[in-house]
Amino acid sequence: MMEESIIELPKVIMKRDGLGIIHFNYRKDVEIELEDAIMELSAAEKLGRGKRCLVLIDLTDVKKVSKEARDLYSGEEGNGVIKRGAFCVVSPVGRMIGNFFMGINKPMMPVKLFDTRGKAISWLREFV
Amino acid sequence: MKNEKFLKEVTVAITEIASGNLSARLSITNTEGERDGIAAGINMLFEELEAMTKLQNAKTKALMNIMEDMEETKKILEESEEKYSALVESSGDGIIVIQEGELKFVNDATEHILGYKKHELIGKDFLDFIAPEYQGMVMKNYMDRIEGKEVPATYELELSHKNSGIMPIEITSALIEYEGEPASLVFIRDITERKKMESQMRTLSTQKNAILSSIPDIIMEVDENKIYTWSNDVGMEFFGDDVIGKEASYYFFGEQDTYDRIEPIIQGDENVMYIESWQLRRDGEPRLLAWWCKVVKDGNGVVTGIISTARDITEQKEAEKELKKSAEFTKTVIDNIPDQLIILDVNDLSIVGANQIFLDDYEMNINEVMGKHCYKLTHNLDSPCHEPNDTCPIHEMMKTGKPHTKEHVHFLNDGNEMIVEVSVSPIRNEDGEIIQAIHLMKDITERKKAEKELKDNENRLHTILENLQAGVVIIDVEDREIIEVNNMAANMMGATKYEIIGNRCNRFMCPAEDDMCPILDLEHRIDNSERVLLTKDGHEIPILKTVMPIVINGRDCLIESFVDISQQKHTEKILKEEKSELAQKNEDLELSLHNMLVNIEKRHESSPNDLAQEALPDEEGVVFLFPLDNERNAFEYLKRKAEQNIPVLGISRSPPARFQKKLGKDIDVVWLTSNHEPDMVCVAPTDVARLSMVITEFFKRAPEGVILLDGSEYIISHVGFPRYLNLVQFLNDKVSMLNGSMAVILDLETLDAKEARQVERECVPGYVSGG
Repeated sequence: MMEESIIELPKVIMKRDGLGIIHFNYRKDVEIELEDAIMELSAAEKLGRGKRCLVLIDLTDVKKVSKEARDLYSGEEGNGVIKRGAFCVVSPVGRMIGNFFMGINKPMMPVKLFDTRGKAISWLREFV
Repeated sequence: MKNEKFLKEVTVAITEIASGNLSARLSITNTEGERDGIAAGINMLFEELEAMTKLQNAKTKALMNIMEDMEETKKILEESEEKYSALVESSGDGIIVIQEGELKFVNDATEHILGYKKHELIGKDFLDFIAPEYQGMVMKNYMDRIEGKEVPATYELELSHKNSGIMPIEITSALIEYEGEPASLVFIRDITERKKMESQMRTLSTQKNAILSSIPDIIMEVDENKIYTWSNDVGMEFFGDDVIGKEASYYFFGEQDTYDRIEPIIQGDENVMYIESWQLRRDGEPRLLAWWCKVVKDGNGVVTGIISTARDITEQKEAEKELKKSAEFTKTVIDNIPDQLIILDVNDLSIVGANQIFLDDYEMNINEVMGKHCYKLTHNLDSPCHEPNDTCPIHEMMKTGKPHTKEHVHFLNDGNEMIVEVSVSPIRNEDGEIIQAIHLMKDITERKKAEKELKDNENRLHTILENLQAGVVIIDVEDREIIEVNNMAANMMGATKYEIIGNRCNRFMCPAEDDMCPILDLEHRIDNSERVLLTKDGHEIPILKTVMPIVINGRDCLIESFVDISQQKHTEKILKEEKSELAQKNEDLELSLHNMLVNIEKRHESSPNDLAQEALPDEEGVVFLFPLDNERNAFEYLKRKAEQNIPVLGISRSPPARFQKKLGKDIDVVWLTSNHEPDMVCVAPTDVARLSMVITEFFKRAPEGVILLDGSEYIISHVGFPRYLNLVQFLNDKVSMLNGSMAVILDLETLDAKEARQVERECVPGYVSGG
C-alpha cells in the first residue's frame, strides 16, 4: 500500500518531503478554527507515519488562528504529533500570530519563527 | 487617513471590550499590511481577555456555589450537631469523653447510670469510678489502644454507683479527637438487668438441664443432614458419649426405611411423626426405640434439623406380643368353652363381647351382637328380666358383688327354647368397681329333660314296684334296717309298710340270728336261691330270692326281690313223682334198643360182605335219594341188602309191622311216632337228636350197614326243613366215613325248588343195581 505524502484539506495542503518534514501550505487568507486544527493534526499524524514529525508551517497567507486552535497546537494534542515546529512568518499578520503563539500560548514542543522557508527547513533538517 | 481610521476602529473596539462586549474584534483586510498585523495581535489579545474573563466568571460562579454549599453544610452541621447532641443526651447508654484520664464530657444517661451529677463527674479521674479489680485491665486496654494495638472494643467491668455500690457495666470505647486533642469516647451500658437475665437464663438452663436429665426418655437433635448435634444424658448413655457428630444411620440395626419416613419432616412438615426403629445401643445390643420427631426451623422458616424423643420399647413390645398371645389364648379358650359366653356392660346390660359358640347358636356375627342388650337377644324382651318370670342374675350379682347362678329359658333365633344355667361373675376395674360381667350360659335343656325323665322313671318304677307280683325289700347295709318295701312284699309278710319299715332285716327277711346274715356276715351269694320269708305272725313262706347290692343316695343297700314259691314247691313234688316213673320207662326203652342192636350184630357177623360190594360197587358211603314215585326201588334196595345179609335198619313213619310187610322181610324198624309202645323202638318226630343217636349207634355196630329212612315229610312237618336238612347233612357226614349207606325216601314236591336242590346236593340219585 502506498504511503501518502500529501493531504489536501479545505484550508491547507499538507505535504511530506523527502526528509520527512511536513509542510503546511495554507490557502490564501484562511482563518484557522478549532475544527481545522483538529483535521490538520490528524493529517500530520498520518503523514508522520507513526512518528512525531517535524513541521514547517507557513503562516504567510493565514489571517487568523483562533485561541482554541492555538491552545490545541500548543497543548498535549499538538505535542503528541509534532516533534518540532518551524513557523515561516513573512507577513505582518503571520508574524503577529507566530509571536503570540510562542509568547502567550507557550507550546510544549520546540518552536521557532523564521522569515524564510529556507531557514526554517535548514533548522528542521538539523533534527531529521 | 488610513491610520486615523484604524485608530478610530481600535478605539471603538477597546471601548466595546471595556463596556463588557468581549467579542468585539478588529477587521483584517489581508495579511500583508502592518495594521492588519496589529489588528491580528489586538484581536488575539481580545480573545485571551474574553477567555480569561469567561474563566474568571466561571471561577467566581463556582466559588459562589462553593460558598452556598458551605452555608448549606454549615446549616446541616448545625442541625446535625443539634441532633447529635439530642441523641447523646437522650441515649439510654451513658456517653462519656475521657481525656488524659479525666472525664471531659458526660451525658444525662451517665448521671442516671452512676447516680452522680454531671458536675460531680466532670474533671474527675475515671479510674476512681472503676472497681479496683478492673482498673488494671482498663488501663492496659487504654494504653494498648493509644499504641494502636488490637483491643476489644467492648468489654464488661464493674463501676461504683454513688448509692448502690458496685454495678455491672458494659463499655464500648473508641479514640476520637475532642477539642483538638485525642480522647476516648466511651459508651456505658448498665447491664444489671442483663446480668440478672443471664443469671436467670443460667438458672433456667440449669433447670432445663435438670429437667432434661430427669426425663427418662432419649432426646436427640439432628441437623438437616441427619447428623446428631445434641443429646441429653439419657441419649448419651444409650448411644455412647461420642454420638455427637455421627449420622443417625450409624446406629441403625438392620434394613429400615426411617430416612424415607422422616423425609416429609426434612421437607418442613410440622406434624409430630411417630416412628419405631431398631437401633444399636452402645453395648452393641439391638433395641427397639419409639421416636417422636418434630422439625426444627430457624427464624426464617428454614429447616435446620429435627428434634426427637425416643423411648426403648423393646420389653414393651415383647410384653405386647405376650399380651396379644395371651389375649389370643384367652379368646381361644373362650371360643372353645363348650357353653355360650358373653361379656356384659353392667350399666345397660349391653353385650361387649361374645364367644363363637354364642355367635353360632344365635347365627350372628360379632358386629351384629356388639351393643345389643342381652335381654333382647336371649329373651326377646325390651327391658331387663324381672319377676315373675326369669329374674336377672346380673341384678343379683350387683347386689351381692358375688357370682350368681340362675336357670333361664332363652329363645334362639329360630324360635327354639333353650334351658340354660346362667352363671354371672363380676369384672372389676382398678378401683374395685364392677364394670362388666362374664355371662356364661350352659345349655341344660337335655339335663332338664333327663331329670324329668328320671323323675318320670322314678314314678314309673314306683308304680311298677308297687304293682310288681314279686316282693321287693330294700335294706340299709349299715344298720341293717328295712328302708323300703313294696305292696307285694308287705302282703306276703302280712303287715303294713309302716309296720315293716324300720325293722331289722332278720325280723322279716330271714330267720338268721344277728351277725349271722348270710350275705353281709357269711358272704353268701343269693341269686335265685330258695329261702324263707318270715311273716308278721312268725310263719315261714318258701321264696325264690335274689339279693343285689345297690347304692341309693350314696348309701350301700341291698335290694331283695323274691317270689312266693309255695305253689311251685307243691308242683315240684308231683313232678318228682312223675319223673321217677319216666325214668323207669326210659330204662325199658334203652333195654329194647340194646337187644335190637345185638340182633343186628349177630346177623352182620353171619353174612359175607363181598356180595354187597359186588351188587353195589359204588354205593358205599353215600345217601341215596329216592323220590316218592320211586319208593318201591328204595324198598327193593333195602330188601336186597338184607338178602345179602348186610345189616339193615328201617326208620319209618309206618308202624314196624306195616313196614316189614311192605318190604317182605322181617327186619328191625324204628317207628317215628309220638307214641310209646312197649317192645318197640319209638322215636318222636321232634326228637331229631335221639334219631341221630339211634343211627350213630347202628353204624357204630355195623359200619357197612344200610338204613332206609321213610317218613321225611313227617319229620319236616314237626321240626321244619332246616333241622331236617341238618339231619340229612349229618347222615351224609356219617356214612361218608363208612362202608355203609342210606336210602332216603322224600317227596320233592313238598319242598320248594331251593330246598329240593339243597337236599339233592347232599344225596345221590337213588337206583337199584341190576334191578
